[in-house]
Amino acid sequence: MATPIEISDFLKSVENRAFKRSLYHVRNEASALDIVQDSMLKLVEHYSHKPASELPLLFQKILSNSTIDGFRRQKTHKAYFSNLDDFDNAQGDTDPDALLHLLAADTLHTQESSENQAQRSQTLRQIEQELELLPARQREAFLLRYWEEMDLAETAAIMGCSQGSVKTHCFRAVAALSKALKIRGITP
Amino acid sequence: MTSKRSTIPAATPLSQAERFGRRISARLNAGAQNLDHDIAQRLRVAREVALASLAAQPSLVTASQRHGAVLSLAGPIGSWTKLSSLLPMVVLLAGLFCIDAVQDQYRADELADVDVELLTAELPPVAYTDPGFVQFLRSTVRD
Repeated sequence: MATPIEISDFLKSVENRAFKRSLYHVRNEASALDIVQDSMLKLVEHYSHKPASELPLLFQKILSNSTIDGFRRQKTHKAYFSNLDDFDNAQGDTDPDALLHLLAADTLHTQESSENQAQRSQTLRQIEQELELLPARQREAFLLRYWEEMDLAETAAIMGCSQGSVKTHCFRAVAALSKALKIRGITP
Repeated sequence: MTSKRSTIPAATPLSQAERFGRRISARLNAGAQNLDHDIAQRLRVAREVALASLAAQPSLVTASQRHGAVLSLAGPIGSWTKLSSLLPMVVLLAGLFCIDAVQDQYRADELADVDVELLTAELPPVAYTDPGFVQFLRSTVRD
């Protein structure tokens, strides 16, 4: 049985990534925060008697389910109340000239500077945008496999599909991301 | 189909995908470490709320583990605990007896009042059984 300190440490170690992972799906900070809080509560209420080693897999599964539920709710909501402003913003952020400028700066400056920081955060934003554009299953498989460092079996268990499907989702996600980032001139 | 899907060279596609994934993850990790202060605070609060709900649970969890599938109160049950659990039942029974006694008393008082009225009235009680009194009541009601 995991001790409260172990649970606290575990939640502390995953909360940031959990928030971002949820945010990539639902694209709304308030919803992502709700999903993370809901997942934390569910983990503590239902699985606090489990050993600490089982918590990561359980939490990722809870988070995945909660995120997918939230994502579906949001899609249904958007079907009724489509927001055209989101569209405009998404198009405005993909200015190729600005990206080229930032990439040129990347090769010139090696020192840590505010400009460099801004550039890196801009590149990160571009990567995150491409990640958000992936189909939900591909994004989920990619993030679980490479970001959460789950193995194939764990990812398959979390996503409720076969290991072969996970491989396919991951492969397609990598292919789509690498192609999209290459077009943008980004080398991760 | 495969070549159309991927921009990664055919040789060792998995290892390249693996490396690509790790590089992207490194970028994402850097981003996740620098969340807005407001978001970080709200995540901290969410974690504390979850841990607070954990603090409210342990006695139940301990009990369920100790007694298997049957949930019960944690800790040994002493004689005082048993006696105190009987106390509400005793109080309830005493209350019911009191209510019954008071109701009987009210009923007896009402009957006594009627008797007193009858016995102290100027009209003797025999008059009420007289057929003429019945006739008097009928005529009074008709008028």
